[in-house]
Amino acid sequence: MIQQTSEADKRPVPSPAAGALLTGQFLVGLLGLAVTLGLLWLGFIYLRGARETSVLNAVIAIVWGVGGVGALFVTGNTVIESLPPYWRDRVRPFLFFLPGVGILFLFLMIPTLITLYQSFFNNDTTEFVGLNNYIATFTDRSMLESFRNNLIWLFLGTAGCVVLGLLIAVLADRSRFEVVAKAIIFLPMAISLVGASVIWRFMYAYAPPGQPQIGLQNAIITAFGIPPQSWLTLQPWNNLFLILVMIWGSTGFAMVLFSAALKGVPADITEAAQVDGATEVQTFFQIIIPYIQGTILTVTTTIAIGTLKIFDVVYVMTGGQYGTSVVGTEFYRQFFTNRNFGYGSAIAIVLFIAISPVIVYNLRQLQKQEGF
Amino acid sequence: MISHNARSSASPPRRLAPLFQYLAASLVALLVLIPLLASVLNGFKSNADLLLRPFALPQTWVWSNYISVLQSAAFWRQMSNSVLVMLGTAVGVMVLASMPAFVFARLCFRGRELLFNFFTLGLLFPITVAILPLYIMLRQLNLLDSLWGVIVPQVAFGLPGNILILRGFFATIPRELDEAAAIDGCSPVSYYLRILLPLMRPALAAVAVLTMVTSWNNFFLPLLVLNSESLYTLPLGIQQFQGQFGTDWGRVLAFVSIALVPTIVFYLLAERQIVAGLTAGAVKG
Repeated sequence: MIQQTSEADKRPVPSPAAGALLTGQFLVGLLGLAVTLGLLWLGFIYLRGARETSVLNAVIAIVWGVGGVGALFVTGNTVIESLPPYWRDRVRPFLFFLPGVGILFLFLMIPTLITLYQSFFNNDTTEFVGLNNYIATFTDRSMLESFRNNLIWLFLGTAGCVVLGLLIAVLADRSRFEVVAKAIIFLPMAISLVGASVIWRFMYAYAPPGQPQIGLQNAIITAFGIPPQSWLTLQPWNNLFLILVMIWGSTGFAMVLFSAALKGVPADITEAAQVDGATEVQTFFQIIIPYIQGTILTVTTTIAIGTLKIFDVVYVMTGGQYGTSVVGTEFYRQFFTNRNFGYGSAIAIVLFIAISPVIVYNLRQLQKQEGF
Repeated sequence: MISHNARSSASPPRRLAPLFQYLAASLVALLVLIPLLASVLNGFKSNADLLLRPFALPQTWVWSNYISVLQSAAFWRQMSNSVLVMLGTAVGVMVLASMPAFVFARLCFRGRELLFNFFTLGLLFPITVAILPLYIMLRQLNLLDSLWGVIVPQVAFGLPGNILILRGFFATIPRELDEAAAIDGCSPVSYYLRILLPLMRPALAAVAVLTMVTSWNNFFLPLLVLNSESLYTLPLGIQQFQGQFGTDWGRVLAFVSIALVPTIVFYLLAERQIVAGLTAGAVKG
């Protein structure tokens, strides 16, 4: 699976004086590198101090960022070009890597490791408490409620998006209204979940019985003589109404991917099936679904990860109250409201552990499909 | 009803299907559009009108809600903050993701697989897991409560996925090109800059558009990093506005509706790139 380093890939690099270190060029490059780094650092200090977001600062920032990376690249390359070919080929890839690796290390890997470390300590990381935070995570009532809700999100949210997305993709496929229908269903994807949540709060708005209902749902049910409901505080159903917002916003994503996959199903297979007397439904379940199952799996896992990480919708619509808290909001509460760092870290790590199998699986699939 | 549909013309029993398709599609489209239309239209109503007839067209079209949003300095400041963060993130991701992607797809060297796994491992780390130490680090770097504190982590978190996407695109460029360039005496760096990058323009566009939309809609990170109202991005602004004018639905909905316009326009313009990026990211092959 892993591609072997083949001799053919080592392209012959033409060099003026093969085998020798070009001292002059090396020194010039090194000097340039030092100057660039110094300028970048100065620019960083200036920009960091600039609290105003003026046009001038924005221009400076762009020149600083783009010019800085460009200059680093050029000077770094000058240094590398001056090396003997043996080293040149070994060092060069790192020129492309270092910026990315550096930023990934600094802002992602290290913080995650620190979180892991802190999860074994008390509130302010002064005392080692072993697994206590984890024990608390799995025994605390509000945490258990969050886990329950996250599971509801995981199953209903994912199922809703995938089934609806597939249904719409199939219905719209090769029909005359395909472009329009897909554009409309894709539309909510453009909207932040925060915006969607505010709009849906309006749809769910509640007024006491007898008063005019401005929320659509209540207007509909009161028209049928059913008393209005306060949807967002109606436990445990309110979770479903929150999930509905996510489905509204994310079905477009599933649909787009399914639609692309459906286009890849060769017409002769389905036609052959129909010639053999298969019904539409049979063709769909026994030919199309197996054919696109790779896509179905990736879409499912992607959305599943999204539901496990859900935060925006719950935070904006209920703030995690009325029995709607999820791991994301509970974590936020422990971290930033209660300042309970050890406990919050443990929750974050549990979330991470819950998500990682899905992501590992996704990566495996990706590698298999790419065949590297 | 006669269908021009290639599949159904092959089999007569599908004659009924288009009617069903139309019905189902219109129903779904309606469900999607109702909340959006309700939001835009109710923004045009006075509160009395909205309370009495929330589902009718506005009795008199009241522009004051929209005008007051458009005239508020806060709205435009949030808009420009969102734009700055979006552009900064997109540029950062494009530059920093395309370089490793090129190396992974093309150059061979010791430790390549190890490094690639390191990057893909980055996909594993949801931002929530890293957020507190990240928060402390941003404070030490004095980046807290500054737009950089949003941009830089967004770039970091955008890298793994986009490296994966771009690597896939780089791999589609024929290897003969590498050899031709090498024979012509082109160094890997100038090969990358002068030949590959221009060829990669559609892929870069896809990555840029996806990154921009993600950045524009990001809520969690700005919520933590930005304290001063003058630095709020639009999602924070929406949330704050809603808290402030809670029951003044006309104004809230007008605010949300206007805030949605840029992304919707953007989506309609760049739909092809977005779809390409999503498809490449999720279903390579």
